[in-house]
Amino acid sequence: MTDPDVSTPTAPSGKKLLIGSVAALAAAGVGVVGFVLPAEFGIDPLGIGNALGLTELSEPGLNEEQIRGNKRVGVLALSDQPPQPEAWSDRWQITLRPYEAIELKYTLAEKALLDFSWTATAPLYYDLHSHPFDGGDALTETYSLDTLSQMHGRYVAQFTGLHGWYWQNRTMSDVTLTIQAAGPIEGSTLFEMGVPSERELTPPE
Amino acid sequence: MLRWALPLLLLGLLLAADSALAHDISQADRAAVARIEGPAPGAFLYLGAKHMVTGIDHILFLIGVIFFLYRLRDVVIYVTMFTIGHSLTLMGGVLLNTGANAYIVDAIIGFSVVYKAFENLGGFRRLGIAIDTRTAVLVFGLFHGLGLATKVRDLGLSDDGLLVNLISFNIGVEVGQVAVLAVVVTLFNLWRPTRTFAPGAFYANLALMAGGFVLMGYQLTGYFNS
Repeated sequence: MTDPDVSTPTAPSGKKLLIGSVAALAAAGVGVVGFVLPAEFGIDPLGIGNALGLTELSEPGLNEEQIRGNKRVGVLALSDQPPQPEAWSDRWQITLRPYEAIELKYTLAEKALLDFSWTATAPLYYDLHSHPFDGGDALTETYSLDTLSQMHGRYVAQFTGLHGWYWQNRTMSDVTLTIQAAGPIEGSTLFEMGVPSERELTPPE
Repeated sequence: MLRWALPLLLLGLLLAADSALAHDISQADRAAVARIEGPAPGAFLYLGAKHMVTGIDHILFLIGVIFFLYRLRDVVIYVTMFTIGHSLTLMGGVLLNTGANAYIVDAIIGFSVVYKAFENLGGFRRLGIAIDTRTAVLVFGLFHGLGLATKVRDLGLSDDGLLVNLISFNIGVEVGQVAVLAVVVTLFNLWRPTRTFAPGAFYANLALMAGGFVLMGYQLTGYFNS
């Protein structure tokens, strides 16, 4: 059995082959650097991706809640250190088992200011969001969504409703979360597996 | 006018397939598979065929392989080598639960396209390198199978009915391959006797080579970025 001739009947000259191969590599290089990298990875050294709107493709999609939340200005002022209010209105602690999640909400009136500080013994996935009483879950707004082990700052309620965090422990060991909050809090609600339960505020002594 | 129609049609096929550059099992399919427990030969047969038909990397390689195969017997021999190669690593990789980094495997698959195009251009003969083309197709078949195995493992198959589902997926891959080949072989048979084939073949293989380089660049960037 002989190897069939699988190359061009009129094979190109060495020079033509070399030039062609280099041209193919160059064309591929332009395609990768100019178009594929911006669109797939957001790497845009030539600026073509930005000009053509390709880099947007590489950004992770925002959900509706985040899009609504991103339209707000001045909701959240984060700081490196916990705020120093005259007195904390609430202090709450919970230990989350692996992949356990909890949601803590404060009832706040529109324009209410909330100083807050939470720390966890390991990074927690969180979603800082709010549900307006007028509109409910359908108009939920998310202001910050990430995985962090602490968060401090001042929060400004954009409307009267429930405001607070969803946390999930995405590690394989227990994580203890402590939150303190100060402000005109009118009530507090816990959501476990989506089931709400009212809780009393427990200020630190 | 008409003599340019076929090369243009082939080019159109390439561009259409380009939208499948990000060659993964789609999110919807992934969610569907996650719900499947037990044997589901129909679903996996379809997924295997779909993976092959929408996979630009496999299609480019197949185009390269049959570019200059004039006789049906040669087409069958080469495609059999490719099938043996990818079936071995697809079945073996999933059953033994071993796999390689998906980016590296996909970069090698991209390289297989570059290799085949360069060989078609007579590059290796000119460099004085003699590589048995059938062995090369078999070896690259092994890598293509490794890539398929990684994709199947990504689906997170349950052990219940694994063998049936895996064999179904593999048969689906072959069905998809035959579907792709039927189109490509037909188009080549129509293009080859025309006067544009000889000059067009040079540029077509350079285009194949460029496509392979793009796949390599994409996958290698993914590897170093992850």
